[in-house]
Amino acid sequence: MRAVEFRDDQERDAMSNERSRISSMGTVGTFLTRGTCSQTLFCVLDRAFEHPLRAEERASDPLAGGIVQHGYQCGMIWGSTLAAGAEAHRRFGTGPQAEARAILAAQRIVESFRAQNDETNCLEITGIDESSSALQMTTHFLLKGGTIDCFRMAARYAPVAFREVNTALSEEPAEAPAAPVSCSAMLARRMGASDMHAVMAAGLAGGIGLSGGACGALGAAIWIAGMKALEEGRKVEFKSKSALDTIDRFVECTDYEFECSTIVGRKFESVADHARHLCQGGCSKIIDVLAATGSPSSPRGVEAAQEK
Amino acid sequence: MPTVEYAGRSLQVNEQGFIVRPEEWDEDVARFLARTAEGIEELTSDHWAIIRFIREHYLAHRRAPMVRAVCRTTGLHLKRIYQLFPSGPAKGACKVAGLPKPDGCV
Repeated sequence: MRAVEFRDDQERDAMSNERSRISSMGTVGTFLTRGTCSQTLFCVLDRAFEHPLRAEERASDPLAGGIVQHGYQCGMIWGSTLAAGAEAHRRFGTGPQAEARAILAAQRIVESFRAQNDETNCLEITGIDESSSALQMTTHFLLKGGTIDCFRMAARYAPVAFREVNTALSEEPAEAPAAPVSCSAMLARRMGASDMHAVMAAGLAGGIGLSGGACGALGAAIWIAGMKALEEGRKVEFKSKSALDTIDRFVECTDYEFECSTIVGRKFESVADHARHLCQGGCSKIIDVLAATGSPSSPRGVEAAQEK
Repeated sequence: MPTVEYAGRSLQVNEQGFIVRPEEWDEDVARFLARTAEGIEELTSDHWAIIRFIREHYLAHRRAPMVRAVCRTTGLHLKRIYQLFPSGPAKGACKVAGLPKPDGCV
């Protein structure tokens, strides 16, 4: 086994701190009881930051499997980003600075996840090329253990995510652009979410941390709709009909594209670049559609948005 | 639990129309579900490519394939899949392929 090399005492202390707060067994236990990777990372990080948010965590279930099993970003990234947003809100309150910090934390989450697992999308991570032979697939799932791989990955990634979020939120503050800063925070507010929930969603901007992946506003809409369902006493299911309905409306609006970089035609270079895009009305139609779809008072979804 | 009657058989379905016992599925059931649940009068070769992939994946792994996997394996763009199954791959195609409603990823 390769020995872990620390750059300095400060890094060694940080690693020790992470290990004392997040244990592998605890993460796997959380995975077994919570049932999805998204809720697991969200829950483990919330507890490491000493601020559990039970309903918010439960509402992240549909983000597993790369958004309702569509195969995009791993649910661990979605869950970690929401937990990072919660911590950004606790440290910086509400407003552009908090949202910008949440985006920068999300960037580190995506980068560290990719560094650890080579990929960020659920379909690629599970190691299954669907065109693989039956023998290859059987070997992967029965001998190697498809789900066990996800348990291991969560156990390995949770302390890394905690460190990355802590580091991002502890750095010297960068100049934040004027509002709006984050498409997903903007959408959250349109859906009637609280300031805390808007900052929590902020890091999902630009396909999570401006990485260009599947639309963060879509993920935010599904998450907020999940919280509304819980408030109304309904269940939040991994593959809920309301989440799938939201996806149907979304793809109709984006000509059946999911990823931010494809929809927008490029990746965003910085938080300021993304903020400029929003100021110029970029993605307004998507935000209108998602906001209308997620609003209980506007059940007609797309039609309601198109009438605006 | 609701049931639907088909060719003298009684199929149990959940509240969203997913059959409860996937082992009751066969190609005739697929045609029946396509017509009654999705309004598809005739299943084309593209429909069958999607249905068979979803079905085979389910039998191998006991869960539906990811939507990106359906696109990749069949070579069909998501837009085309929505044209074929108007309620989408996760709802329409999985229903016609006789999958139960999934509960979670572990």
